[in-house]
Amino acid sequence: MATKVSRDYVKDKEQIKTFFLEFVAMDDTGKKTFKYRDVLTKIAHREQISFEIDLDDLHSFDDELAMSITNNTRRYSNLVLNLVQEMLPDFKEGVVLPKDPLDVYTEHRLLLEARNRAPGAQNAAKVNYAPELMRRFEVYFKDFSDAKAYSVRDIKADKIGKLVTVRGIVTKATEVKPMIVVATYTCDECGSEVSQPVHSLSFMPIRTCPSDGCRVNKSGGRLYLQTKGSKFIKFQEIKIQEHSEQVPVGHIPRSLTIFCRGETTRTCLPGDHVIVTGVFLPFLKTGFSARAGPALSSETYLDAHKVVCLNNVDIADDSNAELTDEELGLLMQDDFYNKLACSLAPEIYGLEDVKKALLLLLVGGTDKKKGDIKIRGNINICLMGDPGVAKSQLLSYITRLAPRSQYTTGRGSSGVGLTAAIMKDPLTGQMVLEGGALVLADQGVCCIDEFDKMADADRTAIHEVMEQQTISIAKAGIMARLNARVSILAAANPAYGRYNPQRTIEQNIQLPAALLSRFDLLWLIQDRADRSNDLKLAQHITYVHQHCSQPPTETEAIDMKLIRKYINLCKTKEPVVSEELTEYIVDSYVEMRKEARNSHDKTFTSARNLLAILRLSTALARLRLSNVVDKDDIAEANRLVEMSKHSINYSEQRINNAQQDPINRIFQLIRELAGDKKTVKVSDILERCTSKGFKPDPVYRCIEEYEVLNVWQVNQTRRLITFI
Amino acid sequence: MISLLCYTRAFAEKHSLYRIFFILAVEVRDWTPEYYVSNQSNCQEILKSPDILTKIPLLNNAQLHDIKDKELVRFRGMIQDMYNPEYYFKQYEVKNTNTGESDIRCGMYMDAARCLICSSGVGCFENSLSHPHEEILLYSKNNQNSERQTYVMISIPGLNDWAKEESMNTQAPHTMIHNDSTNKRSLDDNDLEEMDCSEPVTKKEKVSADNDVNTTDAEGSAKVQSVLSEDHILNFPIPIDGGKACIVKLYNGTVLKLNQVIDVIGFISLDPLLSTIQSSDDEMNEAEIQTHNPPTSLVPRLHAVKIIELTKSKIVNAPEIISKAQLIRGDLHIILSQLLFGDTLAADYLICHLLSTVYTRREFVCLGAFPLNITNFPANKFKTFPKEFYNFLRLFVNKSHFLEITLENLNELALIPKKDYECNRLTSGILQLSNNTHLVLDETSLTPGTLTATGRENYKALSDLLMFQKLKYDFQFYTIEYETDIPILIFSDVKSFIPCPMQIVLNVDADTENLYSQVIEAAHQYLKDDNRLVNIRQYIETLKHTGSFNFNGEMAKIIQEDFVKLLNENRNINRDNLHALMVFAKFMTLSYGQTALDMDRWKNIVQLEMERMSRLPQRRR
Repeated sequence: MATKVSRDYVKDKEQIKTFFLEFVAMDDTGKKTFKYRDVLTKIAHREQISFEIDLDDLHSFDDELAMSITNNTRRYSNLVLNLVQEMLPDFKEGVVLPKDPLDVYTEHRLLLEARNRAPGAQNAAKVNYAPELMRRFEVYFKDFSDAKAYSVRDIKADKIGKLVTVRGIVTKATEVKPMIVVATYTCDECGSEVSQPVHSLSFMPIRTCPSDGCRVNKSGGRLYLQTKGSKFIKFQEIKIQEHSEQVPVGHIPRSLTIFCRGETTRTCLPGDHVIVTGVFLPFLKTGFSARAGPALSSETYLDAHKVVCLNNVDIADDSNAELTDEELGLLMQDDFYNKLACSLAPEIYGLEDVKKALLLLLVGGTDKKKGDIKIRGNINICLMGDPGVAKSQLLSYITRLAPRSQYTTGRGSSGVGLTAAIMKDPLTGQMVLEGGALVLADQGVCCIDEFDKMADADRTAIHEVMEQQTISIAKAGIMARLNARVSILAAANPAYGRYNPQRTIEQNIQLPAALLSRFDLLWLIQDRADRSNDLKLAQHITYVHQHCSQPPTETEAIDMKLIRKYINLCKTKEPVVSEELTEYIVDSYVEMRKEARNSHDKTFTSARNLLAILRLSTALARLRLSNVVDKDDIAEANRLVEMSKHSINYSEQRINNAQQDPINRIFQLIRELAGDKKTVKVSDILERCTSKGFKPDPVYRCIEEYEVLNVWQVNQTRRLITFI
Repeated sequence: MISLLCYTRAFAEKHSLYRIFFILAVEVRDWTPEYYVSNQSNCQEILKSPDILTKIPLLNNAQLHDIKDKELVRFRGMIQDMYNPEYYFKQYEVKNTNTGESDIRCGMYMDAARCLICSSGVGCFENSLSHPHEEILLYSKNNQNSERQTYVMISIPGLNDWAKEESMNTQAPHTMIHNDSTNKRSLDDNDLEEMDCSEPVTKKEKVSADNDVNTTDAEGSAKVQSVLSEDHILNFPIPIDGGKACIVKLYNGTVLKLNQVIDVIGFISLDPLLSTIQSSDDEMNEAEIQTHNPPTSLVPRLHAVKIIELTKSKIVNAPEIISKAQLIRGDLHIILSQLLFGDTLAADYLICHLLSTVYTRREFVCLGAFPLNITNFPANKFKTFPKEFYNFLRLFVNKSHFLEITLENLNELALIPKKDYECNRLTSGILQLSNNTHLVLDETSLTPGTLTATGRENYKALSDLLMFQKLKYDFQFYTIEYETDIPILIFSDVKSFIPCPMQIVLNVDADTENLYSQVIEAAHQYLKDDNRLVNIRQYIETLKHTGSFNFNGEMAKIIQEDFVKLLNENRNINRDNLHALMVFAKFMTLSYGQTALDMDRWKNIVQLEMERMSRLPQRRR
């Protein structure tokens, strides 16, 4: 079985040996250490079991050798096993006491053998013990640090025998079971012992004694398995499956079987995201060949060398790996800020500023922490507005876009609600804490629709969430503080069906000011009749249907995946506000306060606004992938705050103008007066209007004007009005 | 059985009849995997002809006992699941242990190796005395490893009988010919072939009787297998009458999508031993192994040599149909309006619904879906109206499914396909349907009550399906979205609880209502004229696949103006309504066999839409 270009394994072995002996690495303190010598010493003293060879190290020592190891890993790992075993005695400093039963057992055998050998000495080394029996270490290779983590789909036949790194999610894991590595038998006739190394999943026990004594005598000695003399290792079989984003459209995720032995077992549980390095190997279907001839197909598995369990944060980083240059180029165009914002919910027309704000919410500002004082960086936004202005669509889009998000309505359907609840476990009767939407969305976005219809208990808890970013619970003997580092995106319907500009926000939304002020941006979206907007929408729709594609003039919406990637990249930046800018911020804030005092502002201008501006501007800097906040960022943040205030104040102005027309107001009064009745006396109207401070003249004018409009009729004496 | 087959071949080889056998057996039905492999390009050329294809037996309506092992068959079905790829020996070396000669063989298009290794039964020992004994050299450097894709296919769910019948008709004569040809072929190997079929039965029994290890093994596997019911193995989303499932192995790496409907031509493998694969050392995967190796009598294996993707319709006389479109539409309109209690407006909408198919999709915007919600029919008087109506729809469309939405159904039915990690397969759900399967939901018997967690998910799946034409399959650790194209028609007393952009309030004509049973009779009679029904079917099928639709710039202007007017008049209209209106316009135009929208048609369409809206109950404010 000679391969055409076979490597000289003897030479390689020597090479690896020198590598172990001579490789020098810098440790954290900058001191030079013999990395592998140290490990070997530890193994010799049984302080460590796994012997991990970093291919990066080997690569710097002999690149060709490292490459050939990745291509034929199984061979080399056996080679290293033998090598290490040979080398170990040199590293032993002092006697290692036998620790486990197997040690005692073999010790005993060796002694016995030495005693037996003394008289005869001719049958020396008759019984050879398998080297595996005495082995107390395991060899693993660590893949190159820059090796690509493949998806299960990429592991194809050409990878067989090679060291590969795969990423996936664990779907199944067996219990850790002992697996036999060396089976030891005793003969019932001659008492000799036979050991049999096992390399595959199944093995055929030896039945007849192969010892000279039995063979010559034909005594037919039968062998019995000795559990205490056999060696077992931990064995676990796990299955991983592709990540959802690795699956091509319209396909089913693939899975891969992984065999973990020894130290690689018990590293993960079903549901964990893992990166596994191992050797991809085939094994023939057993059982089949015994009955119906050999199968043509073979199963494959990955023999694990390293299993790394990723926690949730890592997944986000990893799955959204690097952006390609092309994608970055696309994002780095001049108007990428507008473009990104437009790409949010492209099916919703207009609302550019709201989308910009939502983009900043996804990116988030930077957290500030100094000792005990913590200032949140998450941005909270509340969208208010008339029914049917796509608030819910925006929310559900953000839920889909954000990698970690929860969507609920104010009236959370389960008993857990928004925050957390103490539940009685039906099985054990124990009290357990169950997190609600806000807890589940930790470090993500929590979209709350129908914010105004929230249960009172949740409403009080949400105060804490929005500023302190925690939820404290003291119920039924359980005291807990749960993290809820969330950005809240709320949508609220006005209390009276439509937003009533005459009333304050609190009245309209029926939420206390304390809660509303915790939102960095409050946005009022009104459904206004606007011909130019309507026309734009109409043009858009006709174009889409005419050409079955988006109008070319509009900016092409960026793919959701790309946005997600980019946002993740942004989140790695921690921009700071430079000294020079602080003055500018303070000035603009003072200006805003002044303005708010002078004009009758219905929104809240408080110190919280200043924080909001800081958050928004750091988010903007992140969006530029910059580490420093610059003046433009602050200007844009100011503008957004301004616009959000404007959206609320402007509505008021508009209606105020209408209200200032006395005739309209008088008409309103007359309607109120009439109520359900069809007729109203003019004298009553006059009385009512004068009490409200109107002179009779406009009242008469009003009556005439609406008579012309056929809203009502006035009788001949002009004393009675009848509605039509 | 294998040994015997091999024996026959070895025998043939010895007498150099092997070649003769190949030269004679050029008829498509007589191709063997070996023949195909050695004449691959020739065969592919032959398979290009549709006439040849019809000669190949169709597995869908054939009985398995009529089909021989390793015969070339056709199967039409939907991809239900995809398994991991398999690694197999593309080439392997076989060594004859008696003579020491070795031989390289091809492992494509078959499950088991051709090799005279014998099972440990007595029969084989008998064989080995007189025949060469062969073994595969597993580590030979001449072996070549390769990968093949494994797909699970099932008969198309929801396929209506008339659509099946057609293929049955084309099939019938060929099976006849098939029988003839086997007789003809008796020249050199028929005797041996026959021996092939009859012998193993007794032989196998013998084997299991004589060898105790084997018997226990077989019994054990039989026991476990009986645990898995037929339903479990077949894994249909909805009951399919005479439905079949098979495992298809693909060699050329064609990329197929889930729920795609395809024709497969391949060599069938009916070796009963394939299901007895057992690895006793592997308890964890017991269920999985059982599921992945079902009995071949239930789930045959197909080694595909050709895949035909059925995306375009195969209506031959499409131009003729389009020229007659107005006429056929008239017929269809009469029937539908009568069935809908004389409501012509609803009939217009329903025709569009029948023609609807998704044509553009972007993230969450999907154009072309035209779900309908028909309400306010006299449900008390005609309890079975939705069902009756569905029976007519079945006559018109290829694929359809009727789903009664009741509280129990919502709470208990598995609508969403779900990954079963125990068996490592995708357990089908009712909504795993191929594109253009009309789904009719009957909400009339929905009662108030509590919705369980499953119920909520089912509800969400239905409403997402309706709104976005996407379905999230449950992979337990995460969900994956699959794009669908399933037209949905909902019958409900009042507005459906599943949000549907197109609600039609029926305007019930009193006369039709009173004589409804006669109306149904009459409609049946009307359709009796066979041409009429065939025309309607072809009309729907043809127009569904006519993609082109356009209007000129001038029309666009007019449409835009009308939109602005609409928006101004009615604040309840939003962009979704406008999209729906455009989709409606498209299908209306198409339904008349036209591809360009003109002024009159547009005005008519707007008027229809206005009438529809005026019938909706006004929102009280």
